[in-house]
Amino acid sequence: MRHDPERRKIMRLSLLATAAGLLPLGDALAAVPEAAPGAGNTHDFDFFVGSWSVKHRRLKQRLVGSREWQEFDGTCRCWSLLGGLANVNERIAYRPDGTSHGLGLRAFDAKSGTWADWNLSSKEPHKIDVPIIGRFENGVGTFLSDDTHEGVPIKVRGMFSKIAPTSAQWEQAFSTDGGGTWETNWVMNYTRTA
Amino acid sequence: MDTPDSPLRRQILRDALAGASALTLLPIADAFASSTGGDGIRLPTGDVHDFDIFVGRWRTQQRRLKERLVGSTEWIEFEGVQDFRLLLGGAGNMTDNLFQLPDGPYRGVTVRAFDPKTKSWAIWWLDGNRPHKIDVPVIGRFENGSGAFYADDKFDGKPIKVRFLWKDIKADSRRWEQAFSPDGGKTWETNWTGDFFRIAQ
Repeated sequence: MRHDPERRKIMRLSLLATAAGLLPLGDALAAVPEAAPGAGNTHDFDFFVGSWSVKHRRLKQRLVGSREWQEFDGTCRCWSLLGGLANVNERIAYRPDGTSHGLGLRAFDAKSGTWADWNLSSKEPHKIDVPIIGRFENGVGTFLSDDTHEGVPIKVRGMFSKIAPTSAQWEQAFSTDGGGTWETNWVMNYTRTA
Repeated sequence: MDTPDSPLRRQILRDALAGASALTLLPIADAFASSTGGDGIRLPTGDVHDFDIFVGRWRTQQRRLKERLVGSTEWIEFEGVQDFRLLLGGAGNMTDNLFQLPDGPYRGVTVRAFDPKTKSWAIWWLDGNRPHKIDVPVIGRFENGSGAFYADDKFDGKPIKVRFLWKDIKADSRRWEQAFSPDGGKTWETNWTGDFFRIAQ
């Protein structure tokens, strides 16, 4: 809203075709050209739309060599926004220290063929981190950002893998050496419920 | 004794609303309309339920100033549709917007989250045309039924204050305005307004 809307002509034409009833929305979005070979598309997260039960494994402390994992259950529901250009998942995690709500918001940039993925947690409801950005290759989605952990610069990596019709896995890792080594600190195993 | 003005009555209504809505037993507006009659809604007062009455699908009439902070008085008018839903167990909400601008469709997502410590809302806008950028949030609260939300941002490289207003809130209509201030909040230029009319609960 703060920026004057700018148009992308191809997108406009395909969406206009949709508005005119010439194309179903899915087809119009499929007609958006990919930026480069191997780049993503607006259907990358179709697998994630729906409702899931989630088994969480979360490293109790980060970047201190901890091997103590917390396990807890949760739920997650994902739906499409902006006609497929974005999607959101709402999650509830029953953590040992209480129930937490959160959401993930992802949006596709057709120019770069990449997704940005933001996270908002009810524990810090006025804070949206810098997004992790990336794409899917060979069935694995890898998303990276530069961030800080307790004042130390880190790289953050989120990965979707093991994607099947009724299951998927997401994991988060931090690196303090520019991506040379990674410590996985959170794993979520998804099982579809609807 | 069952006047809409009774604080106890309001509390009961609020609890009934929260419970019934959470269970989707009642559309929100109905819960009030049946109890208070007419347009008797609980106006937002600065709590986690401030946006509850916005849930549903809305048609919107938008007016956008053609150029900003140059004294323009030329407005572009267009229509749109907004879907509004609650998130984060009621402590957040989001909208999915499709505006039919004269030069083509324009899409965007609003995310709002309530901080119970400060009793304030943060509001983010994800612009469908800039899908990897979320602006700094405007932050604020409702008082006396109107909401004002502010951010420090830049426009054309110059620092500005941004203000969102929600006002004229009724069960089936409401108004939004965006304004920029180039002088630290002394003077404001409204550059975008939206009037919303309910299509569905």
